[in-house]
Amino acid sequence: MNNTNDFELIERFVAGDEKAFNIIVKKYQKKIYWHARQMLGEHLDADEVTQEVLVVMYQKLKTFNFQSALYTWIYKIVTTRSLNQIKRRQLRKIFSFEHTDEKELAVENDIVEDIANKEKLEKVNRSLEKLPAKQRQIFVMRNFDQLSYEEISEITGKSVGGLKANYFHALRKVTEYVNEKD
Amino acid sequence: MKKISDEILKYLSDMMNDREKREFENKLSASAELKTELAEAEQMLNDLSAINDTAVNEQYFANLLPRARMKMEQKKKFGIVKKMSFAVPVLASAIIVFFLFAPKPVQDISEQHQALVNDVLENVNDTDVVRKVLDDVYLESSMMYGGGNEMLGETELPENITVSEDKLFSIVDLAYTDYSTLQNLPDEDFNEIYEKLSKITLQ
Repeated sequence: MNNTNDFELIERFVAGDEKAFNIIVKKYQKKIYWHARQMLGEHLDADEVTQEVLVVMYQKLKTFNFQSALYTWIYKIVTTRSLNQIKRRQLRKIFSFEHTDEKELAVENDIVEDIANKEKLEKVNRSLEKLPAKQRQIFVMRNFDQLSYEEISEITGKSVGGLKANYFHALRKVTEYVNEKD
Repeated sequence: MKKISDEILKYLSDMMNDREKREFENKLSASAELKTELAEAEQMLNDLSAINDTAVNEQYFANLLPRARMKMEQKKKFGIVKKMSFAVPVLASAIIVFFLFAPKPVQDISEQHQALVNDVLENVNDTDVVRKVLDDVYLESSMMYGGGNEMLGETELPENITVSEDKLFSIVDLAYTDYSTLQNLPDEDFNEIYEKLSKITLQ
């Protein structure tokens, strides 16, 4: 990911060029959505988080300090928001606010239209559901976002050693689940 | 597919130190079975991560930014309402606190008036400032000693005010006819008067 180009776009946006923000969004929106989707397992929650992240980016980009890469900064936002959304969902479940209709709604509005792809996604989601939120976060960053441990460490603030151990446990659970199903 | 060994999972997680890694890779080059096991595990992970390439309805991403911008607008509006809803109780509290703790007006202020008049006349050269201060003094004095909006000539002023009658008339009369000037004073003048009044009140 090209930092120089990103930094130029941020500078342009801070100077009042709204188009620069549009370019940044176009560049990163799919990464944001898919990270949220893999963390949350369904479209509606992922959509909510993605929009929240864009709003936060718009509001906070002026405070960007150019000390890290833009995508690292964005991942920090999206991964924190996704974890918060998981917590909110757990609370909704505890207080029985979640209706069965919501799941149906998520399926109906899904942006993945192909049935085979939907099944594939569902399978991945079921295997990720077995993981605690933090392990899921690391597994998603490492396996789907293809980030290095060093990058994940910068985003999450956790040690590389701790991340490796977490990924190992996540990997074991996911492969065990996939093996069971096969 | 059989269960993936911890050794392979450790290798894939990059949890091995250099020595362990070397040993594993030596073992790997000598064992076709281990190679197959590793290849299967890698294939499984690749299959999982392949969902990144899943075809989606691109219209969703085309509409994402306009929808986010609408959300921003809503947040802006909600932010103003939120701020207002915060301001109302704060303002109400401030008014209550003001009425509870505001210093009570001094009842007998004749000495203060006298001191103020003298102080202003002796020390302030700016006739506007003098005029505005005397305006307040005059009105309060007339309320206390003469009763309301009576004519200047019928107003009793506090005793011992050492201001000659013609000077008093010329200054106070101007102030009397131009009562609103206190509100129109520049900040500096107003602060000067405020300072003088504060000092006098403390005496």
